[in-house]
Amino acid sequence: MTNLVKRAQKGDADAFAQLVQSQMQNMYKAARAIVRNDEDAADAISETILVCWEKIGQLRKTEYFRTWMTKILINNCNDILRKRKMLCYGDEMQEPSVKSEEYNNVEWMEVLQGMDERYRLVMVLHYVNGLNTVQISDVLQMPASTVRTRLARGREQIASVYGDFGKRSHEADMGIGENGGRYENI
Amino acid sequence: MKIFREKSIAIKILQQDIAIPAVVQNKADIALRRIEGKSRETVVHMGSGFRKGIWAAAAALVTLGTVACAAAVIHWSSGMEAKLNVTQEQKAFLEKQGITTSVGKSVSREGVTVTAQQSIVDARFAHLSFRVDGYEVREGSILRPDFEYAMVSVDGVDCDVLSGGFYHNMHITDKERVYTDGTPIAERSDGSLVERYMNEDGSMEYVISLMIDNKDNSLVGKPIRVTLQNLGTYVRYSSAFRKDVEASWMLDFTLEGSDKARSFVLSESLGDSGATVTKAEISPISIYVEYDFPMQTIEREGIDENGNWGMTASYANAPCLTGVRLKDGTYLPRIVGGSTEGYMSDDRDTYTAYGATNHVIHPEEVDALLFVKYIPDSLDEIVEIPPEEQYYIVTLK
Repeated sequence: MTNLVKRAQKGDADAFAQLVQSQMQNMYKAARAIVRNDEDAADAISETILVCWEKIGQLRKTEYFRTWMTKILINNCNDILRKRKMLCYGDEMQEPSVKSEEYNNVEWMEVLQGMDERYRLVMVLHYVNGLNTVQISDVLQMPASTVRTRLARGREQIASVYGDFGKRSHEADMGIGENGGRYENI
Repeated sequence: MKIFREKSIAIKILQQDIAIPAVVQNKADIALRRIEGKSRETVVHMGSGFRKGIWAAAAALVTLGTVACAAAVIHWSSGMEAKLNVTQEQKAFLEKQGITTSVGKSVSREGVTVTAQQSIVDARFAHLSFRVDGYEVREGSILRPDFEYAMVSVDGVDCDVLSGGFYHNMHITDKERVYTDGTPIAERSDGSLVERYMNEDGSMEYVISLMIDNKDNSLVGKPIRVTLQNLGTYVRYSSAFRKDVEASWMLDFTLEGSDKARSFVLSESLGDSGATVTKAEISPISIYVEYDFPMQTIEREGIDENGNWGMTASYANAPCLTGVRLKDGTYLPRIVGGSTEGYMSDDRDTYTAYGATNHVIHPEEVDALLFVKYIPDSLDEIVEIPPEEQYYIVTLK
């Protein structure tokens, strides 16, 4: 990824497209943890792609690309949410039912929507995007202790649905997941 | 340290790949096309004088000498033409330089034949085109054909594959969106553009670009082994690969090309950056530079190579090589990609950068190298700021 970021910083649009493609799953899942429909996720992601391309030269450390991009995406999602709330008088929008015909998508959305909104994003950033609690606290500008609390609460919520996580949640203090993702200081 | 032995079902579901909805893919495609268009637009805008003037002159110089050569051996593939945005005149120039050649090596496995058909090779970079017969992808589907693995070694040493993929036969500019046969590009019901991987004769084209790291070596004349393994499809933007043909196509041939480059010994400082450019080599498809730039270690909080957060040490980067100025005053910025830079040996004073170009350049027509001085806030701003303010300009003498 570092090589692709460097090439993109020099104006290599092909390298940037490869970077974007490699991050589409992460971007879509993070966006859907915030916004309420695919149309808004599409707007947030496309805006993020354009902003990242314009600003990538300012990224001093290529290894920050993923957290940097995630920050931009979350800002864009929050902007969309704010606009929606202004149009819809507060926080009372209904979540649309899942329309996808893809079984994996339906299953994924069920797990996501099984969690309180406050916990969705930290759960996705941690378990999907592989960010640790300190990185998430940096991205979301909230104390690491709050991130840890939300992760614990999120796990408790999905454990109540899927039943197999609660007993392990308390021991997730440090470790490496099967996919190489780190689970630190939770 | 405790390790998860078994993941929660719910966490596994959160982590599993899902299909990216069409509306999301479509808008991402549109953003990327806009970027690609902007990138090209910038070069064309600043370089339009060059394209008309210099290449016309180059064509006049080489036409007589190259027609016979071109007609005799080189069949340009569509993917290679697109790779370098090459004109007829530039093709003739590259052929005369001996930098491109036809290969003609084939391997058949499981009913699929892969043929190495054309190469463009200089000392450090190679673009390779392969014809694939016997495998079909339905046009208009969201499936993207690919090999599961593409591995390359040169002279027995593994190479960096910068990019590899099947050519989609789309030619997109601000003025037109057509396939390479001139017909308009079709759209899916969701508005996304339909790639055309299949050529009229039923074949497809796979294009690889690769780079060698060793500055004292050259790719030219070296034996290359390209191994393409397992042919199948990806759903766009998904990492899920469906293997249709389980086989390995191994092609061995020699990299024919030219490592000729225009070389300069320089001593040009880049403003107050602390870097002094000491050497440059320009080939028709790549640029190499060396700087005197003693390593400056920087310590800051960040993520180390193992993904841990904490104090990390890195080094300062020298200003980026981005393009060239031609003798007629035309600027061609943002043409250097597929590159690498840094300290290549134990010498912590000599900083090296090199990259392949996305346009053919005529080394004799290059007047100066451009290094990034100022990074504009937007692409639109690029065309408004005078080049002297955007770039350190190193005149070649």
